[in-house]
Amino acid sequence: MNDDFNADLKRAFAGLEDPPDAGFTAAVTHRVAGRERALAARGWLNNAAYAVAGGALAYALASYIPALASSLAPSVVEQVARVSDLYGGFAGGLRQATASTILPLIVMLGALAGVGGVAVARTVAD
Amino acid sequence: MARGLVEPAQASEAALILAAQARDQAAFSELVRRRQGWARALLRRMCRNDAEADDLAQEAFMKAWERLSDLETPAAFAGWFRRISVTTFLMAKRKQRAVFETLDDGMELAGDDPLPDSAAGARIDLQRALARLSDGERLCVTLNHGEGLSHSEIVDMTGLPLGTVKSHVQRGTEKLRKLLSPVAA
Repeated sequence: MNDDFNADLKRAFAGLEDPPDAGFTAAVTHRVAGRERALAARGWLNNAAYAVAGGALAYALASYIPALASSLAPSVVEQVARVSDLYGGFAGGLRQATASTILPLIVMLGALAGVGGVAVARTVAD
Repeated sequence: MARGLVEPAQASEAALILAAQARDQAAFSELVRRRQGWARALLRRMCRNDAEADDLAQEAFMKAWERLSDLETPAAFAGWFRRISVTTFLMAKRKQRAVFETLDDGMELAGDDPLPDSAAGARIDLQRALARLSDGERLCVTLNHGEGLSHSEIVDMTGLPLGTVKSHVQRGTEKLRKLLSPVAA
């Protein structure tokens, strides 16, 4: 008797009608399209952030390195004959270069922090 | 945005799945149209509320879209999507703190009165009778009798212990037998 009921039950399940669509497919299609648009926008923003950070880093390096080189060159030439003063001259040149290019230095550090932050955010999101 | 499939409505399901895996939204939309009846019916049998079932069905299709690249072969889509649907249902119930792991019935039957033998037949009676089972019984009976899954397959899909699954199927089936039996004279 149990086997008969189980068989009847299976037939009853098979006989259950599927619900009409009533806009369900359109709703899912809309959600999928929205999700893909949001992902595309996020990708664009990430790429823009990387471009800005890279540009800031390049600007900072382009400003800082020539200033450092021009400050150090006379000291290096001068100290080549005086070994004991080499360290003092290098440190002085470095201090002078840093003082005159503090803004590019801040921009460079900020760009590095920004690049790092975007990288972390993308890793977490993925 | 259709890429590759000119007429999704005339494509085979396998072709639709392959196109959807390549992020063809039109192909996925056609796949949803073809499968939504079965998916929503499955979830409506597991839930007591049709609106809740349809919400879960939407979530299941969104997960399918996100994870379609994990599907190794289009032929496995039905079983793969059934698993997603059941998992979505279980996660929703666990958020509602439904108890599946005990053997206790979630809801007692309102007396032993069977459902009226309606002119519309057993189809309506079965849907109403399912609503009177506990969540665990309804889930396991639907998967066993409705989807043809074995006890071990239900264990694999739901994570429930084998003894719990067997008990839910047995008790749920017995309750349905009482509910669907003809009214005694």
